[in-house]
Amino acid sequence: MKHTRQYIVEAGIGLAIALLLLWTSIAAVTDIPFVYQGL
Amino acid sequence: MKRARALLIERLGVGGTWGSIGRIAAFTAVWVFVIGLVVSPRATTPADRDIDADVPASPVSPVEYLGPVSRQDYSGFLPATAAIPGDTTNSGDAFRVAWVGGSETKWESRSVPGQMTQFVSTFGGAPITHHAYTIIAPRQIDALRAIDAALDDQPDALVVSMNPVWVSDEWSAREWPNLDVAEFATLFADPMLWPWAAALTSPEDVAWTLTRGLSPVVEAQSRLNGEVQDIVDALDVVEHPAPPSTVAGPPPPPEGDPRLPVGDPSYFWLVQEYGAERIEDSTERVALMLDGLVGDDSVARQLAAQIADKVESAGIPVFLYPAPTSPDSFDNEHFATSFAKLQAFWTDIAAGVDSPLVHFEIASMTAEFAEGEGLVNGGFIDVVHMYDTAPFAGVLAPKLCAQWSAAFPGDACA
Repeated sequence: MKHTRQYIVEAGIGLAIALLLLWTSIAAVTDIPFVYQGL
Repeated sequence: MKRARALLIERLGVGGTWGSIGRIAAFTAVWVFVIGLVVSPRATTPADRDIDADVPASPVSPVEYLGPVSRQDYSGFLPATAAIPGDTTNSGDAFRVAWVGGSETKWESRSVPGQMTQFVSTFGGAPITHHAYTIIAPRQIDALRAIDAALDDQPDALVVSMNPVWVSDEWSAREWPNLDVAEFATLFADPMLWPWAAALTSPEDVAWTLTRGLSPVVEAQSRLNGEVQDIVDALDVVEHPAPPSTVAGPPPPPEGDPRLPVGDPSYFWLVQEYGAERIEDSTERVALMLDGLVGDDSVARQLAAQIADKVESAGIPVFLYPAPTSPDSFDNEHFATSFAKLQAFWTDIAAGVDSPLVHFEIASMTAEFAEGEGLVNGGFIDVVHMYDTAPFAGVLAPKLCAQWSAAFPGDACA
């Protein structure tokens, strides 16, 4: 119980980082200039 | 900032020790995994492809196109599914044929395997299912990965269309990111190719592959990107809805990279090497491709030998052929010479293959189908693309069936 608050905050920071990572992974999608045209 | 730091580190002990940092990292990984389970985006399927083939899906002999479904999709080939209800095992009820090729095999709505279904639908009494592993203008590295992906799905037979650009120098064709990170390890399988594997694989490829495995959100990133874009557009009060234009303005610029000639995407490589003016004539352009971009084909040979080894060790009937070219292309002397070089190249490679299951159809098949009635220029739009793939499929079908029957005595196509 002594470290409960600490663990909760660490989990919260982990959640924020996870959301940022997933957001970034979706935003990182870019067009490949031409190669898949016509597929 | 100082106060936040003081609160976190000094009062709560967060981030002040390696143990705390390690826990944050562990929590992050767990959250990525949990968010993936909660969001649970559906997996990308062949049905997400915008353009399907020209032939309606046959209930007897279906075709699945497993190449990337969008221009944003770097994640490689989709897994083959049991296209026939009840065919739950890869060697079960259906005779599964995998196709590896480029735009000459499937180009927008035109498809060679699609037309194959019009000629044969069963083998040995079992329905034939086709799985196409195609991307546009594949290089040998792409072909190797496509063959790996195809063999992972345990087909009963493999058909490989050898793209003209395969004899080109690999390095010169590598000036953009890896297209298929799912199979980035392909080149590491052969110690002879380790230098190329190291040169052609970036840390990004490894990272994307690992994170795709960890989270379905990342795996579906290209589709989710489009969906999020739609949401952002809908919420955009500044630009949306766009005001109707009452004044006729200049026509919008063409889509794509303005530095590239409009038209065939394979222009890109040759523009880089020779300049735009040399490639105006498409026959000359393909001849340049066949010649190799820089005239050094040692890497091309090494990778082609790797392809040959791979298909030989597959233990299934494998039929490889050079992509057919239009009948009038041979009127171009440079093209005819280059095609002869291509044939010599593959003849050398085929000489190293002992398996009776592997057949290289080195000779051009163009003359066998291009004289058909009603076909303009043999059915070709340009040097390698057909507007009607049926005549070619009609020539290919009996050759494939003969090879399959030789491999599986007593069975035949119908």
